Amino acid sequence: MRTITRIFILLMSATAAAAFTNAVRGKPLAWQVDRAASANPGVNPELEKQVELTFDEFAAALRDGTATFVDARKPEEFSAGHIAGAINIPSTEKEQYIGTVNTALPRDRPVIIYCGGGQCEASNEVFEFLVGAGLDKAQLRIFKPGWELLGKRTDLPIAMGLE
Amino acid sequence: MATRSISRASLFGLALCAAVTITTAALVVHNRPADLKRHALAVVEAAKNGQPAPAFHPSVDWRLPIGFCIVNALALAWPGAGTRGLAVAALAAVFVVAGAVKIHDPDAFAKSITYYKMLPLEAVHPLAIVLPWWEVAAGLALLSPAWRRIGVGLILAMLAIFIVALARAAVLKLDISCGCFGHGSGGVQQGLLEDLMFVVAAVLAWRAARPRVEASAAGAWVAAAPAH
Repeated sequence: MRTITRIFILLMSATAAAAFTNAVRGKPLAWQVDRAASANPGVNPELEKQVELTFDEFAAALRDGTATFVDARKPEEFSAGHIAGAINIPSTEKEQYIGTVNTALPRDRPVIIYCGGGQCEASNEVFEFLVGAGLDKAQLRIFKPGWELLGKRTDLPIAMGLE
Repeated sequence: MATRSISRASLFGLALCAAVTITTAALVVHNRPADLKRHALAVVEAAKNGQPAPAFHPSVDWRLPIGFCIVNALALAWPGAGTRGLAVAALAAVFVVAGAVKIHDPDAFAKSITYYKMLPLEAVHPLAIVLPWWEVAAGLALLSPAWRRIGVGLILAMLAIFIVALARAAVLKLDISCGCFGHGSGGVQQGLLEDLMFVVAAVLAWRAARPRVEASAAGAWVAAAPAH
């Protein structure tokens, strides 16, 4: 019984300290995620609907040359094959690529992000990162089927290597 | 009898260290091609920004898992107050530092939890706010002999959850950072190795808190005592 009381005291004190320090923090972390305000399409269903691109739209953008393509996969996957001209911003180390974001990504033209496919969480993370870096949400799109589909196509310009 | 018991514990410590060293080495070798490519890209990126080339950092950092296995092996081979105290202090330091880093940047920790895709979104922020303080509290509890077992119990409970989360991420091949020590911590495999070492240290800390009479029953531990 004494042990349970002690565990309770320890956890409650720590929880109280957590609530207090969070409340007095300059920028407190909200206790609940505000889905509607989130810049992560995986969290914000409204945003997810707005940013998704079909293959036809993807192919049209590629043909017209109006958009910049961002590959959110790992560098080794990128170097094994990617859409020609795409810029690699790996979701796992995106923070290191802020220089590329500032110099190579346009602010006034569409930027299309793709990843490996599936849930495409990598694209969502890069999307959120790019919004945080100052890019306009309205210019950003995600091609969810990703490399799973693109890699199988023979009619697309594919490049290898890190550049 | 005494010699056999001591050598059994020492052998376990040695086997543990051998297993950790081999696994870490295998992970370093396995990840090396990907690490080199990643580094090459980072060098190109730095050159574009006019910064000096970054140093090469393998994605598996051997220092913490191997350091901890040495501390554990010492406490197993020579189970005196000093070596067990070292294991307790090291474990306490790990939990206090891990908690402090996350307290410093709860936003980054919340993102790390989200990337595990294990919890409903509603639970992510409360956990990101509270869990780091539980880690600090459990770490500090280890330092007081009266509270040590409560600290160890909490640490083992947290480690069990962390290991399940990491193992699940490894099975699902989620390409995420462990998040164990905030932004920039190692990958999932490294996190698993470290957590397993912490479990051994926590068990040693539990035994270090054991009253002497009770410890007499655990032959191996007492057998070594007269020598120290």
